[in-house]
Amino acid sequence: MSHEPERPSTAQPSLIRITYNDRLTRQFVAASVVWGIVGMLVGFIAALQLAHYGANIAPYLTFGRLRPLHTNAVIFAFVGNMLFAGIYYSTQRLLKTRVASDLLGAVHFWGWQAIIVAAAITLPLGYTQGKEYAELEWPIDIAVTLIWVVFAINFFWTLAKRREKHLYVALWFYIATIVTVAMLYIVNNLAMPWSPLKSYSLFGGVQDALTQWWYGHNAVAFFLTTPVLGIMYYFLPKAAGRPVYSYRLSVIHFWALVFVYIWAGPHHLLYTALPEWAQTLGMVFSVMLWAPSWGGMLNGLLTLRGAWDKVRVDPVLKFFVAAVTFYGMATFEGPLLSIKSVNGLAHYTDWIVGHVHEGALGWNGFMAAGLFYWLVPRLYNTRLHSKAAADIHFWVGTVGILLYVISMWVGGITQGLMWRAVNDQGSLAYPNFVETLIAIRPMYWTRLVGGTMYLGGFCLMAWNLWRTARSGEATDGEAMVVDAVPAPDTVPWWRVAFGTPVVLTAIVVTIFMSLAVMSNVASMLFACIGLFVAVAGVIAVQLSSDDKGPSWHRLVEGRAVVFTVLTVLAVFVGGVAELIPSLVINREEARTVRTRPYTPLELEGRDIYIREGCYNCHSQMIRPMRAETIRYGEPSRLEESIFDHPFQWGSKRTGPDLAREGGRYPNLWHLRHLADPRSTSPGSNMPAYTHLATARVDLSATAGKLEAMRTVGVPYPAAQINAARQIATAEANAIAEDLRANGARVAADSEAVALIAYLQRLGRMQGNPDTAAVVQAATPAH
Amino acid sequence: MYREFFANHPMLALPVISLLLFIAVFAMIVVRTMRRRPSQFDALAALPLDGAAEVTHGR
Repeated sequence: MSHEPERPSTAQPSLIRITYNDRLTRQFVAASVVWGIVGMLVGFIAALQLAHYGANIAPYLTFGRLRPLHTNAVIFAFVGNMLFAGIYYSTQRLLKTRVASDLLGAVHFWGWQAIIVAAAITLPLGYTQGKEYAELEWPIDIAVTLIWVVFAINFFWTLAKRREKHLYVALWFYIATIVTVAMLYIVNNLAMPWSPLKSYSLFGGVQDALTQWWYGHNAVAFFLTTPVLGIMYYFLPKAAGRPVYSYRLSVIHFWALVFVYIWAGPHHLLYTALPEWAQTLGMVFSVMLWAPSWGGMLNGLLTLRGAWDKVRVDPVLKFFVAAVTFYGMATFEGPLLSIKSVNGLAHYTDWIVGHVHEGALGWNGFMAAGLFYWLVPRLYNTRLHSKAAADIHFWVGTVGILLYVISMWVGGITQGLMWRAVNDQGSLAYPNFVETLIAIRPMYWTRLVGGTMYLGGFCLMAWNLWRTARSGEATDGEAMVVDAVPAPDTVPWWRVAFGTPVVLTAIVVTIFMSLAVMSNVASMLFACIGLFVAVAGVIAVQLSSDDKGPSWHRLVEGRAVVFTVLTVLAVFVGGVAELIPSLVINREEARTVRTRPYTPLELEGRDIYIREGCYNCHSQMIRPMRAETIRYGEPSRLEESIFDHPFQWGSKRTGPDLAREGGRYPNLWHLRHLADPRSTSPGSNMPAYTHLATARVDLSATAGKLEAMRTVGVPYPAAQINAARQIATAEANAIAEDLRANGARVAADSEAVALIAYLQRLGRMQGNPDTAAVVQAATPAH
Repeated sequence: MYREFFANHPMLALPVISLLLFIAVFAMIVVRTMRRRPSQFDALAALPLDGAAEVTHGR
């Protein structure tokens, strides 16, 4: 069947009938609903595992392996498919043209689903890069990149053949999403493969931390926020039957958001070993985010001005209004948590988990529900099967979110306060970490109830949508549009691209960037000059505008290429400012004589630590706070993690920090702890890793791992690489012998021994003092 | 010098100046943008509602 426009043979030759490709939208909606249930079901299991350790089924279904599956499934599978559905549906209509290529659309859909299946298989098997939301290994990363390029080509190709010259605000957010996600994903996943399914991050230590949270924070910004805002700007007016409250406000919302968001990543690393200036930069830009975020929220809510009566009866609007409200709450709480004094209490606790789910369940989940309830009846040319069921979904879901979020607030603040509590003698009031876990366990059960309610409501929606689809027939939208190429541009592109606002912004940004290479006095002077130029420039632009011709921004909105380039520049400036400084610091300069790479067996143990997802519950970053130094030891330093590819600073403490775990307990304690955590730490919710005692480490691959590490900058001498197997064997024998002497028999080449070697190394930068001798002994005489 | 700056610069006033700059510029842009006549944007804001002419039929 041809999808070429059909021209009526009678009058009105300028009007043609076009058929939209809504099959793509139907496919993405169905995939989103199915993966949403899967992702939330995995989340349910993970929540149960935190409340009751017995729900862990080693080795494949432990919390450490399932939590990445949960996050990847809800982010990339549930929300990803949802936003693709919304983008394909709205883009075709806003541009008054069918999607450029049905084939590319199909490749996009099936390729994305194949990626999700690959993730669902590899993550429980332990194939992970060990970086949050970036766990997928290198072959899957390449597939993600290729499919994203397919999506981008199809989108920009559709832009090129559009019949509507003006790009509506929703499309701006889609453009920002496509270009920024590509940049973030590629940079953060740069890695050195050493096997078909394993790699080591190109970046290490603080560089990797900064890159990862530049990515992690902006995955939230440009995958979970900007495309959904685009969907809000299209579908909320559609559902309300009235235009967006303020188109002018949407201009401010867009540019301020894309420019500011990209800078805020370091707020995930406050009080860490990250340079102080970078932490403060992240905090300040996070605070700035209040302005555009709330501008967008208010724009969404005020779109319903005069139509609030519809909210009472229309489930679509109910979901949209609640979603935008949750967006407002989450974007208020985010900057709040970025303020250092608040972050000092909240970081590593469940408060952050509550904050994240406020956005995920409230903003993303409810926007998805509103979108699907609006779309599916139209995609199947019928009516929603049950409005009552949709209403029940709304209320069950809302109560579920509140139970979830409030329990995590209470649990997080409780735990944060208990960690820092000291008694009259100045020592910790709760020195046993497990005490703080037991105290919040009721909150874990409450969260489970809330999450279950939300999942129940979601399943009800799936049933409702299924019945709706069954009652109708798959239908592609058609429209009569004017068959005319948009009028040629009268203003040359360079006058738009180098318009006054662009030049002014470039000057101010350049002045502020140049502060980095000046002395204190000069930089303060330049800061004042920059401030003056910015203020005076805006006033000059205001005074010179005549309000007669189209504004500069109106011209940009009609130029897709210029608009895309300016968007790239806006996010690129923040990205460079955040990343380059840490990348240019010479790693060798950060080294001290005390720093040395992991020994071969320690490296093998570290791979096991990453495979089991230990970083999901244990941090390796002691903050410079008295309560932390009493509990864990002196604050972490940059050079301590310089050889960590990837870094393992972590973001959550369900268990204690491990940065200085080495030497704290004997080998036997670790062996018993891994086999049965309750035997050494009564009340712990850590899974039992009994399989580590029987699984064997393949020491024949160790040399290859060291070689890969050397490629990414870890200074392993050739002698150590060549003798890696012998060195590792000698190290393992020493630990096994120690265990045997204490009454525990375990094979020297077991994974438990390798993991113990790694844990005993943490915080002891000298490593095994015998290693050099072993290298010498194991090196061939020639 | 720049390496030292990036590694451990003590002048934390810069981020604060950035914040003040942002607030100042943001406020002025808001004023400037909101002073434009809303009618200039009515047609643009109504683009999503332009699909009233859309027809659907079963395949």
